[in-house]
Amino acid sequence: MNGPHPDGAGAARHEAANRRPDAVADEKAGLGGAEESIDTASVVAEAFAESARLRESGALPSGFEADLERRFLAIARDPETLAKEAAAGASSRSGSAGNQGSGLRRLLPRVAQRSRRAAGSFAHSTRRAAAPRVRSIERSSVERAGRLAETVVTRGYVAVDHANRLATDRSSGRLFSRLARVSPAGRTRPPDRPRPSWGGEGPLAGETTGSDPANGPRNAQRELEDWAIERLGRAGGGPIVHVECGDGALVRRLAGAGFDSAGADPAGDAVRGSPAVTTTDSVVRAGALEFLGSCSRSSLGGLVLSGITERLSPGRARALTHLAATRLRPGGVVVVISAHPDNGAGDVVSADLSPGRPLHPVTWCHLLSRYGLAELTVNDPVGQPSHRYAVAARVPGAGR
Amino acid sequence: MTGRPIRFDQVIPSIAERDAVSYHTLETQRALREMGFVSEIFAREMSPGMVAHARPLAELPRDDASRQWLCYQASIGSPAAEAFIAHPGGKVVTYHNITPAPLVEGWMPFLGEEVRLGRHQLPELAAVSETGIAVSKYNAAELREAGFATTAVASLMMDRSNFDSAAEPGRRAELAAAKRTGGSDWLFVGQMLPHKCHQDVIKAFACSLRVFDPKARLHLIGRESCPGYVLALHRFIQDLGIASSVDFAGSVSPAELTAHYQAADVLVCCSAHEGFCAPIIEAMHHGVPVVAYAVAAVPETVLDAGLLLSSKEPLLVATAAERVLRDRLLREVLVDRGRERARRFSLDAARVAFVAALEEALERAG
Repeated sequence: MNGPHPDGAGAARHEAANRRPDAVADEKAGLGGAEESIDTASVVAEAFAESARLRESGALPSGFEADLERRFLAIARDPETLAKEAAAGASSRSGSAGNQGSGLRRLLPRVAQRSRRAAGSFAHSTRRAAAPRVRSIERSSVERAGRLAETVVTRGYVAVDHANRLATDRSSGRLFSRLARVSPAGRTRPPDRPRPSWGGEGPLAGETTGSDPANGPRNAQRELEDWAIERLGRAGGGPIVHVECGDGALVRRLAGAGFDSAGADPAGDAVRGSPAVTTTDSVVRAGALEFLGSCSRSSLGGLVLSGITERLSPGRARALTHLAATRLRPGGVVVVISAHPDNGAGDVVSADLSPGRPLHPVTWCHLLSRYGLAELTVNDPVGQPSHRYAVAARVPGAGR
Repeated sequence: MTGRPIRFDQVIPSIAERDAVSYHTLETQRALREMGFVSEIFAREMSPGMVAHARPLAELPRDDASRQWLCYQASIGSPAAEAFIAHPGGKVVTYHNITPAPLVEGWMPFLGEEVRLGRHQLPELAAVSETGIAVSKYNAAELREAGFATTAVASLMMDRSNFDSAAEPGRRAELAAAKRTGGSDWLFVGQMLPHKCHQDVIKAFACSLRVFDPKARLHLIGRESCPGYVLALHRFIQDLGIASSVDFAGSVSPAELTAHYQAADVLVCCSAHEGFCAPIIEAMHHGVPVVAYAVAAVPETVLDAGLLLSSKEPLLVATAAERVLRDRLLREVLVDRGRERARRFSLDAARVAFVAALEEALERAG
């Protein structure tokens, strides 16, 4: 099929075509307005005429085009069989015993093609062979640099948080030392009480934030807290910290449930004035990022994030998630509680990651999974007057 | 419906990497978010690489029409359309065209069923949608035929990585080495599906080898989506004795695709049906002249920036391709017009048209 040109004119045209790309580039300046005058319809008409002339002149063997059509139709007359043969060919390539012939028939052209490529450019093949390793090294270097940059940025946010509050309460030292004393397995959460019962009765009833569980319906906040406590019960042990704990009510509920709980809040007055806080070393006056930045890696069993979650810039959101992911132990659980950004009819939240806005649950899922947390669950009770939601996730590893 | 919605989500039958409709969907999401909407993509099927970008269709929130609107990306029949139709929110449809069943069902009966279903679903979509946004005028005409009272045209938001990626050095060197041996490089880019009619490109190429350029090479790029059809093409080139001149490159990365565009001398498209044909615009962007069979939306995409043929006679296609290769003035005019044409299909222009169509629909809905 790949015979010589049927006539000298074909060879001349071929030569002209090969000369075309660069040799004529410098001639372009002289084209002038001729470019605009070209009518593609006329060119196509000329192509029609030229192809007819070529046919008549015998440039192609008689019936060549019809033969092309006939040959393809002969091959394609039974698509179903072809599909089966293609499937069999694929399975024979993957080690199946049957229909190896058709598999080889399909494979051989590719092998031949690859051989031609390899023979055509050995040096290039060598480079290509090395390319995956080079790419791997490049990728790992970029990843390392990315991690380092992220750590530096996170530390910057921690420092800013620290500077914002100026000085940490003296009790923080006591709290940190207390956290450091906690045994790896978690010393206080009773093993026979993985999931505390919160039915609105009992010694902790009435201590929720603004609810009257004994006489009225359980409010949305308390339900979210119940859900958070249930999720935290699945952690693998270790202290549970509620950052931006407000008056410390949830810290106390957690303590009442047998968890080794503590809290941090930047508003010192709120902490000191809280009737719920009974032990001075349970709550520390510290910003969320500041507090988490001070904790050792893998030191916490559980983490509840609230308050700060509703006024995050994109950078602070990433820093907070980064810190949460690194401060939790394997199996540790983080629960994010936040107002929903869609809360408030007609107030369109234009973008999730705009500064100082609450995030959507799906955005939290994205952030948490990006930092390696798994088992993401969302509690999004749509329809509540004050629409709040919670997202839980766990560090892969031990736990329940 | 009252007031502006808060959410504007999208529903798509399936979402995957390196897929024009999927990329358009991601860009649409970006546009919707820039318009101030909360916007997510809900897909019935998704490839592993798209898990981070889409959510399962089952999680589609069901809000009222005043709070939530939906955009359906229609390119094939799917139960996702039924979920879209049943949703109480406001609706618009983006139509990428649906391949007529007779063109594919002989090779892929299941695909035939799906596209048949897709065509059947169009009138149902028309009945519930505020407007139909088509990626070409040809598609808009089909929407009107299906019963859409209002239509708008906003061109495809194309994957810019296919335009702006640096060429993959290895593939570029390989193609350059082949070019040094002489002969021109023909290119066709498109999934290996029957309606793309690769066999017609091969027939024309076989004629060109015989009459014009015995050293020419043909590069066929695209996912091998129909194994039986691909096998038939392999057998065809073997039967013609031109296997050494035809390169089945398969699905390639954007960087490899750029290398192919840079090496190509002509893009030859003989598809029997195209709702837009993004590779034509990509080729124009890379300065590759286009010879195409004038069918469906192809003439609208090419306009006067390529040679449009009313017939797929092999020798005619080969002659037209040879004319583009041989006639330097014609070639340069086509390259210049092609680049200008590609600029008109910029992402920004497509986004502006989409946003305008959407705002109009929202305004009409009150």
